[in-house]
Amino acid sequence: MSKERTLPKPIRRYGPLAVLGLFAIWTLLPIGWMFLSSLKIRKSMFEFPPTIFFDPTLRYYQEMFVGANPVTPFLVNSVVVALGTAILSVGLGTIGGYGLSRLDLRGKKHLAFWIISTRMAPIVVVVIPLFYIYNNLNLLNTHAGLIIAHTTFNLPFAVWLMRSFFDEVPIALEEAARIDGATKWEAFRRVSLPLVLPGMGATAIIAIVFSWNDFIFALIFTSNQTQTMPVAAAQLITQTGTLWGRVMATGVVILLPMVTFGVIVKKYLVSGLTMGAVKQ
Amino acid sequence: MARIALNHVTKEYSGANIVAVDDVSLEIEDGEFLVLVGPSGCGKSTTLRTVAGLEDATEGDVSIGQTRVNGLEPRDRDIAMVFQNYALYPHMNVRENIGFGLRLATDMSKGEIEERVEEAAGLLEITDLLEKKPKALSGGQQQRVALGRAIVREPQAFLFDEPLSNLDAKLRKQMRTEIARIQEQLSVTSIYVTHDQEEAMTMGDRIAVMNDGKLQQVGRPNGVYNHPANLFVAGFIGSPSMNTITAEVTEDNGDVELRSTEREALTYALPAEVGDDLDLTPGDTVTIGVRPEDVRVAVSPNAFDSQSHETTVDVVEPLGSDNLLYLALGETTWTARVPPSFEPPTNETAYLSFPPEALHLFDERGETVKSRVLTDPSTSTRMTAVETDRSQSEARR
Repeated sequence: MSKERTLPKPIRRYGPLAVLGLFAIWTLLPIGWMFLSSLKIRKSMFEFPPTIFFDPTLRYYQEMFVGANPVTPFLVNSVVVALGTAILSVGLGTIGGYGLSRLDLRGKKHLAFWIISTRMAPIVVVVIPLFYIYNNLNLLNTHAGLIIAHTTFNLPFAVWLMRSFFDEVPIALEEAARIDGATKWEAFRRVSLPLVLPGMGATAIIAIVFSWNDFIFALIFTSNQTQTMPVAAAQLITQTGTLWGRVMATGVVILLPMVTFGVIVKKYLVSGLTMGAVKQ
Repeated sequence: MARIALNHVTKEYSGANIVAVDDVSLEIEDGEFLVLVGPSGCGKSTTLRTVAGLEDATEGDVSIGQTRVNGLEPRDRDIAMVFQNYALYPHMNVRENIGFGLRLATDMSKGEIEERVEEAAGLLEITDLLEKKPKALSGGQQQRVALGRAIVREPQAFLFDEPLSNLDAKLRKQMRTEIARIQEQLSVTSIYVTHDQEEAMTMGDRIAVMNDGKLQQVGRPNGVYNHPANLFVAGFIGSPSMNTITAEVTEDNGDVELRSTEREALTYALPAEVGDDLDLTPGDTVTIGVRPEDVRVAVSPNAFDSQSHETTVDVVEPLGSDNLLYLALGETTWTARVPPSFEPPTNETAYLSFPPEALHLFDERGETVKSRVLTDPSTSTRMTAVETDRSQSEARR
């Protein structure tokens, strides 16, 4: 029996809380500041120390949705592109991941690594060649173009993730189904696929978050009609000045759906990403 | 119901250069329960999977009923299979699990399917579990559901792939009887794969012993036990294993003697009436084999009317119904199954003896030269001569 050295009890009890508290402040302070600022008039935005109790105003939000340059079309663009990316990534990722999991292929591990390695290139490296290709294919300023760009970056991860989910489904289940009278497709459709649904959910969430937050692709490949929210927010920083109130309010509008979504699917996401982490 | 036939089936994994199943020919009669038994990696599961259609035979034919099924999808073979890990669909409840095959592959109405599922569940006494998900069931219950899924389809054949190996010992014995009962009741042709020789002995109408991808022997359980075709079968079937020792055939004044090659562990004089029937030449190397229950042990050398051999008792292992004695015979250890009342002191000299009828002899290649002549010690009635002859010649083949 080795004698374990332990920290004094108060540190053991309150130490983790202190670390977590600091982390929470670090993460939440800018968000809180953004949220409060979006409700303040410009003058009180820069007061120091910042005021926490004040007369809130909704005028930036009002401007945003019913003003001269409403943000609604950009919001729609963001939703369309994010959903498109999610559907494409999950769809192709599921098929690819299934193949990679079930196929008896020599050098399968190398293939899998090669797939995930394409994800390791920085986005800026591919932006210029992709721009050139898109220009020739008339994909610039289209939703499809942006969806394809986002999908190329999400797909390796989606394939990789879905492969690990399929790896967790015992092959005997499909064999049992095939003996029970299913074709290979039916065994996949009716047995394996329902079992990886949490995985598909997790993959979709990751794709949506990536697409929703992407700035570089959207900035380079879109113009006015197809701009997404992050680009729209950046355009509020103009040569004549920065519309701080609008920037803050737009930030909140970008963040809010993701936070809501995150809270709703939290359980789902965690169960998806940790599925099979422990042998049952 | 159907007869299943394997005709020179070979399964080779070319990538890995492994011959998993090597020229196996086997016929399973309509309604018969055949157990494929062998150590792990002997090719028994692969053989079963070629019948199921989950693997394709590299060479040879598999037929079920009148149909040659090579190349047919599992779904077109009209078989049911029970897997080692049960392979229940986790997202379906018991009712859906059992009915899955019927919903998928037949045009039965919902009511008919329901009726069949209820009937199967009743037979297996799992009616009260029908609405539960597999995760909520114990291992034994899951196994019953897996059985239910097999019987509900009324297939031409049942294939069992080590279905009991994940259960604890007590439950395993219980399910063993259950499966045997259901198989008999439905009289569906069955192939049952196991590595457990006891399971094989108790369940099979016939057992087929495999090793290294090759079929070693097929026969009725007692036939295989009493007349193993070779040294491998002799050692594999029976627990504790058959005692063996290598010996050289010598001749002394016309009497054949077997002298253990290793030291002076054992010298056994073959009575003329036994030795004359056997094709033994002095100088041959043979392996002597004796079942633990045929080894008699005493503390005094005069206890036997036949020849006795000196030994040392290493360990006495009480089993309740019997005692197992571990006896040192030169470098080898022999086991003897003796009555529980007999408990000789350990690490002291004792004497063992075995009658010539109990003796098994194997030649250099491990093939059987002589197997046990069966006598029932309690009644002293011999097997009928015809029966003994037949199984002996079967064993020698």
